Amino acid sequence: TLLKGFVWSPMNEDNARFCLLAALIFLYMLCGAAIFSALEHPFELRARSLWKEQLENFTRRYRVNLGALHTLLRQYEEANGAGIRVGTLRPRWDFSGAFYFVGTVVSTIGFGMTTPATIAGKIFLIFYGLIGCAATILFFNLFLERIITMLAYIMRWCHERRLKCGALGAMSSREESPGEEDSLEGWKPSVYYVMLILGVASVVIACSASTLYSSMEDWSYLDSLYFCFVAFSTIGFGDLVSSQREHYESQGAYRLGNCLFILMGVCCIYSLFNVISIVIKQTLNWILGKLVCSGHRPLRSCPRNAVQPVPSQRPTAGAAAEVGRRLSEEMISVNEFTVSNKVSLALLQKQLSETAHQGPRQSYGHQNGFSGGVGALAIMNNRLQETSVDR
Amino acid sequence: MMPGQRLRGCRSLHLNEDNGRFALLALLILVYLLCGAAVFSAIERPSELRAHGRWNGTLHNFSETFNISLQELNSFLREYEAAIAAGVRADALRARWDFTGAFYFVGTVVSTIGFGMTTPVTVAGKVFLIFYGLLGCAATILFFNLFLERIITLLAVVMKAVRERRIRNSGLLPPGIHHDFSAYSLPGWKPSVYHVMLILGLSAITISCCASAMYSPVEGWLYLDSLYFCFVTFSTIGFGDFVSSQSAAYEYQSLYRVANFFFMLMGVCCIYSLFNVISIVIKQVLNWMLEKMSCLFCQRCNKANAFLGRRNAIRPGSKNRQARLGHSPDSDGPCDSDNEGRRLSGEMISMKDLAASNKVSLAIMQKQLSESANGYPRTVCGSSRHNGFSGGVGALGIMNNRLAETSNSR
Repeated sequence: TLLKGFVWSPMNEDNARFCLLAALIFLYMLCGAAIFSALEHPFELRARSLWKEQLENFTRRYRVNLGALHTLLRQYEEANGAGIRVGTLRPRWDFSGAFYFVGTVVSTIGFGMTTPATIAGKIFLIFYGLIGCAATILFFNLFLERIITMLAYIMRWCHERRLKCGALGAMSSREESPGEEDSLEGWKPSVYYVMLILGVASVVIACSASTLYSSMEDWSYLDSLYFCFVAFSTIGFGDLVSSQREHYESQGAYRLGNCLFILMGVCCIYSLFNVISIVIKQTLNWILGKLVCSGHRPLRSCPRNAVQPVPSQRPTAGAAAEVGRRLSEEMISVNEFTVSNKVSLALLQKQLSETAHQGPRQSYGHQNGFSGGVGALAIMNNRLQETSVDR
Repeated sequence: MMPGQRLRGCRSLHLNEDNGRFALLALLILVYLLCGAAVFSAIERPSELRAHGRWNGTLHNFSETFNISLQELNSFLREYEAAIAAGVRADALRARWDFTGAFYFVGTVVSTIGFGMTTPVTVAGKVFLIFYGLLGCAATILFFNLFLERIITLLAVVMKAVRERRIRNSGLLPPGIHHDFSAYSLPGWKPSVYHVMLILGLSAITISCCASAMYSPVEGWLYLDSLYFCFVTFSTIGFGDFVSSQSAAYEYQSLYRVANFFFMLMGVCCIYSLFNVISIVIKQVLNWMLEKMSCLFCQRCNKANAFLGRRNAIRPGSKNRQARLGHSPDSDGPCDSDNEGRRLSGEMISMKDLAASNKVSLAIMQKQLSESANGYPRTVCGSSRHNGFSGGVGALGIMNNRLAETSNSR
């Protein structure tokens, strides 16, 4: 209803946001393609001409038939697919190699240094991957939830402590019940703090892992960082893959370290991506707000979604408008209305009983909160300032 | 936050339920990995040894035929390895880093598929990739999550329409009622996760089969290899052993490239949604296992304990649900982080919030009246929106309050 009169009024806000995001990502990809092309194309041309030279040198020097050479090269490519390289590598399909492989499958990293060659293997992979990837996505999501909970808990504790120290002189009687302080009601960590903490954690993990890789694999430190990013984001190109050589010093410890680093790194970067995506969502909402404003002057105040990059006390103001938007296209029956009153009552009872038991408390703008969220964002719904009241 | 109250009396388990579930899942995935490794090893190892044998034979033959020492040959092949990294192949391939090639590359980056057929080799490229990927992958994860939300909403609307029609046809409603109002008869109805999983699974299969039907003739792959490529790509694993659209020239090249792009986009969206829906089912299984395990450890564990765990007695609609589905109160599943009681555990509702909630109810009522006056299309939100868990786990949150299994419990 709030887009009534605007040219794309049939589109509700969710669809508009989805389309806007799609358009922006497409634009982002076009720009990225142009930049990468400019950066890498010269080197590609040089590498191709270099190879041509080397090929000519070789055929001239050994008087080799070009056709036969190409056949050999094709066969070498096939052998590459089976994991054969000029230098000896560790076996692909012994148990530890296969374990590394299934790890790259369920985490969806997919380096590609090991791939099934048999038909049975490919078919088994499809079914194995269906369950494995779903379970691992669940694992990462649960990890995200756990980490946000833990961070909120720690940050809240710090917050309380700071408040307590500040109020120490004035009110000595309040030290037992920090939850009753008005300043703590509804306090949730800001998404920016969580993003900062996760970012720092990711950088720390990536740097530590890089020191390990650059010493064990003889990669440059930058290459190790690049490998860390590519692996932890689950992109997994496969141009650089750790732990492929046949022999390492302290091989067992290195393999274990590799496993743990990749696990922690993926968890961390996955959480970071999801937290960043909340910020991106806020930006989208802001852009949508601006678009709606510029095209139309509705009667109510313009950004109908109060989620702005700047958190404010706006939540209770215009709650009806926000509720209206949030619940747009949803019908509430009288049933549900009476039930919601029952809920309010029960909540009140609960509050009283918990106060009596002095359970830990965290104020919830529950009824005003958006119940639901988008994907992993929902974890953070009602756990962060920006996601408590509005989307 | 006392979800562990549920395990009160079960002294042997000191974890709260969320941590317990997380640890259990980690353990199960580890076991799954070990078993998978064993199976793959048994299937593929013989083939690997044969490939080694074949290659050695080929190398020796070539060496003898043309009288080249193995070292020279190997150093030549090392040069070829470097060329392969730059995108050279025996058969001519398209350019890696012209604009379209770079676009394909960037697509594999932001979707995290990461085939690896094109990778940056310059220092500037690698550094730029890290920053570019941070933002791009986050945005694309958001895109997939929004898609998941849109598709679940769409499916819910469609399935509800189908259901309403069936109800109307069975004569339970007067035919004159506007179809939206008929939703009164379906308060809180949400599609079951199993139906959604089935529908998503079917669409995934359809998309894969159509895509394979395209890849197979155009790329010259076997149909099975195309299906394998589709799965590996759409799940964003992206090995890179098969990559579409790499040859230097195709018939109808532009059309093929566009189709390639759309198939991949739809396929990834579909399979990502399917994974998330399957993960709900897996979560239910975990909850069931946790319940069984805690019952095993806890002698006093009985129905009363489960009831005790239901700290919040509000289950609006649950009576309806239970009556419809014939569930006993306890079979809704154990309390877990998504259960409402636990959801609201540790949270204080101030009078301000209570007053605000009443304001909300009033506003909703007003809105409903105005909307019914205007005849706007509606979908039943369900009272669970107020009672529902505003949160969820990752992408599961999308499906929270949108599916039958995610409405009241979990």
